Formats: sequence, C-alpha cells, structure tokens
Amino acid sequence: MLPLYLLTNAKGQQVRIELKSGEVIEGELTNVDNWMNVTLANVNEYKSSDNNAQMEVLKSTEIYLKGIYIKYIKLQDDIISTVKQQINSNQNNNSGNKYNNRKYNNNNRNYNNNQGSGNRRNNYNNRDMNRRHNNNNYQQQNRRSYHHNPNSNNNNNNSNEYSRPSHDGTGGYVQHHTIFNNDNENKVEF
Amino acid sequence: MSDKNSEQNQQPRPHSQPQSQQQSSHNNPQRKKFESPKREAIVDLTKYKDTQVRVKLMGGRLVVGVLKGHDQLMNLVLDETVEYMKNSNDEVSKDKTRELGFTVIRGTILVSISPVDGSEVIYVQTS
Amino acid sequence: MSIAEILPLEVIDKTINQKVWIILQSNREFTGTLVGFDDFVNVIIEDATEWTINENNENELVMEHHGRLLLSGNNINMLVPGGKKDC
Repeated sequence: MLPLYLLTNAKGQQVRIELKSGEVIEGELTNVDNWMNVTLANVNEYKSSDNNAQMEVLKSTEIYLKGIYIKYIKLQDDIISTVKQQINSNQNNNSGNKYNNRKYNNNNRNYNNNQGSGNRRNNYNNRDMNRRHNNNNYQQQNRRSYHHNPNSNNNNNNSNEYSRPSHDGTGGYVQHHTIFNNDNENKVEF
Repeated sequence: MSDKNSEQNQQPRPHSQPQSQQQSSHNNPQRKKFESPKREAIVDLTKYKDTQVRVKLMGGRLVVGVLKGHDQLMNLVLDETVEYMKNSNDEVSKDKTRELGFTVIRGTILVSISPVDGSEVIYVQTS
Repeated sequence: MSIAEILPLEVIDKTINQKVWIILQSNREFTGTLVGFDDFVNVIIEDATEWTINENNENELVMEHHGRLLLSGNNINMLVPGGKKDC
C-alpha cells in the first residue's frame, strides 16, 4: 500500500495534519495530488499540538496545504482495512469488466450485462473470503518486499520508516490514534 | 448453496439497470485498481478571485489579501495585502501588522491558503 | 466582459525598470530598481538598499549596494512593485 494511494482513497474522511511548523490542522480530506498537496473542508487550525489552558482555534471552510510542509497526517484508525476492502472490490469488478471487454466486443449486450450482475453477486459472496485471505497475504507480501530487498529503490527509506513507526507516529500506523481522538473531542467541544 | 441457485435464476434479467452500472464503471477513472493521486491542480483558485485569502508562507509569515491572480505554480497576486508580524515571542499576532499593498507571493514558499470568508477564531478550553 | 487573469510573473515583468521591494524568508529585505528576473524569480536589482527588520518591527538599514545585485529566488518570499513606502 503506497502512502499516496492510501491517502487518495481516504478522501471524505476526517484527518489531522501536523505541519512542520508544529501547527495542527483538522478537517475533512477533499482532495490529494501527487505531491501530497491536500485540500480540506471544514477546517480547524490549532497553533500547535501542545496543550495550553486556552487554545485559539481558527475555523474556516476550506484550506489548501502544500505537501512539502506536512509533517504527518493522521488518518482514521480503520483506514487500512477500509481501503483494502475498496481495492478488493474494485479489483474484482475490474477484472470482470476487462474480461468482458476483451472477450465480448459489446455485441452481446445482454450477455455482458447479465455477466455484470452475476459478477457483482460473486463479489459480494467472495468479498469476505477474499478480504480475509488477502489481509494475510497482503501484509506478508508487503513486509517481505520491504524488508528483504535492500537493493530496491525505495527500500532504504521505507525499511527505516517501517521498522520504527511506533516510535514517532509518523509511519502511518495506528498506534497513537485513540489518544489523539480523545484529545480532539475534548478540544472541539469546549 | 442456495445462493448459487438463486444467482443462476437471476441471470436472465431485464438489463437496464446493470447496463447503466457497467457504463458508469467504463467512465470511471477508478477502473485501474483504485483511485490514484492526481497530477493536475486540486484547488481552483479562480473561485477565490477578488476575495480575501489568508496565506501562510514558509518561514512563518502570515499575509491576508485580496486575491487578484495566480498561476499554475501557485504564485499569487494579492492586493491590499496585510502582513501579520511576529511579536517578541516569535508568534504571529493579530495586532502587529503592516500594509504591503499590491504584492506578488512566490508559490514555492507557500504553505497554505484558505478563504477568509466564513472563517472565525474561537477559543477552546482544554483541561 | 471579464478581465483576463492577472499572472504573477506578468506583474513582475511590468515592474521592470521600476522600484521594487523584495521581502526574503528571513527578516531581510531589499529595495531597488528591478532590472530583470528569470523563471525561478532570481532577480537582478540596481542600486539596492538592504534592510533588516528588528524585534520591534522597525526597519534597520544594513547597507546600500551600488550597481547591480543578483538575488537568488530561493529565499524570496514576496515582491512588492513600487517599492517600499518612504524609502
């Protein structure tokens, strides 16, 4: 799972972004681009994450943020499983469609369509199994490819990051989240 | 098991609904695997034209001005620009300002841009 | 009739041969006559005056540069056509 893909598929979700300056920005993720520039809607901006007795919060309808200035983005706790689910269902759909397109050149509308609905059914039935199956596979594959190919391109960075996500919370994994969430709620409901 | 049967039974079905479904997935950019990050601009600054925007810059500057123009690289043209200066604590304060007037802001050092319209400052008690 | 979009680099281009005020990322600023610039907004200014802003947000003159000065676009935050007030 590439970070940008994960992020792109987290659109519509509530995120919390800390900038390099220490400012914290919360809002609904509305768009992401290749440089991790993001737009958020219904934004709360905090001066920094450390707690003073009284905090100044700037609320605005929308914000655009330069990716280069982002320290980290905290996503929802269940984001990885949610996106994986999405991938799986999309892949199933797509493979079905490709198959259809290649094999039947739109001549057999009828047949295609039925096939389509049939596929959909199948997806529903298979999805659970696939997901469980893939979860295991996925992680193992990931681990393996990240850790065992010291020569591959991204590996130096990635292996470092992946090996210490729990220490600094920037690795995209899930450790800090409950704390942050509680935190947020406290701050927002004043 | 019964699922399988019912599925086959459902095969000869009126196709209006599935057809539309398939078409939508044809047009859908999500078709390749799932959605990938965008290369094109994700924010349309023209909608902020002639309205006040708050712009943060690398190095900690905060300027507010009326957006007059911009380009692909997020260089901005602001009018009636006001810069909020840092106070002695190195914090940007609301009272220390200076007027810059008509300015060009470099896109390379832009950190964030947000509309002033519809924004407000609130104070939150944290215990 | 809608007025065509104002392009930032066009604005800079129009300030050539005029006074310009250039604000860097640090608390350093330059005023002078804009001679030219490139796509990176590296800038050449003429008869420049260099300023710093102290803690009380007062201008302090650092020095006057005679002749031309090339300013790297890397550190340029803002350009103000017309130059600095009362400078």
